[in-house]
Amino acid sequence: MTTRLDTRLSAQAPAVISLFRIVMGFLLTIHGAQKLFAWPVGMPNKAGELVGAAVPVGTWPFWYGGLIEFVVGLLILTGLFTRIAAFIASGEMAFAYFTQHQPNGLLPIENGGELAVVYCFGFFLLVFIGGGAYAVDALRRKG
Amino acid sequence: MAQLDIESRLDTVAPLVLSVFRIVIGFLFALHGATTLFKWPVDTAPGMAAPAFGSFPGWYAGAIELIVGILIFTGLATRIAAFIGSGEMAFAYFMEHQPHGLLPIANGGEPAVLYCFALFLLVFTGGGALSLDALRKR
Repeated sequence: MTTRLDTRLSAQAPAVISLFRIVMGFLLTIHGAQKLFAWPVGMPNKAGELVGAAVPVGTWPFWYGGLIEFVVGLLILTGLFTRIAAFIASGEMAFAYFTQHQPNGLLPIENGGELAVVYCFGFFLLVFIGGGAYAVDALRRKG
Repeated sequence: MAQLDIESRLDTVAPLVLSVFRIVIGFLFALHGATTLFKWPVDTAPGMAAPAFGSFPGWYAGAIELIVGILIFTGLATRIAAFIGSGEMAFAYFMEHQPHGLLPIANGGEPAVLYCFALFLLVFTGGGALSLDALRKR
């Protein structure tokens, strides 16, 4: 009984992988757009309100971070070159975690790096499982 | 051709990576439960008392996060635990975060969204190669 339910759930997994991929890609793209264009929300100011200006072009590391997040986010959102894009995103998040968050505390929950960890491992998973049933990659393979 | 080759090699390792992903998500989820219920191992809301036993929604959220988190971490009853955790995160997002802004990045609900969809994925993929579920099946 349990096994039969497991099998039926597993049959839907490729579609759910795509759903997961789209959400992850969308949110990463937004992070990139925030840094590059201060849109749809601005950078946080000192009070934490999202009204600040965009990161100046070429600033290390945040402008590069924003560029990676925007480009790679769009690729993951659409499912084009999912695995290589996810590999780059995962590496960027690992870098961000260790340079920006780890110095502030031991656990992700206290150093503010929880999102970076979840993104890092989420994208790392996408490297291995690919983009799922609904992805430009899946279309390319068919065509 | 070479492209397909590396893809199939990555696919071979996917059940293992799925378990790594599951362990990280479960660990962080259980931490949220523990900090909510016991203010341990860190106090993420200094000055605020832990929710009283049985108070809604704080105590229930903490209890769900701790129990579901441990189940996900160990990979025991992964799919049903992930289903409950995913539902809790959807509830938390719409109750606590959505009123504060349209986008997750603006309303502070981004972790809730990520947990919701990550756990939803685990409902369908199961716990992967390294899990108590996999041991039980053997």
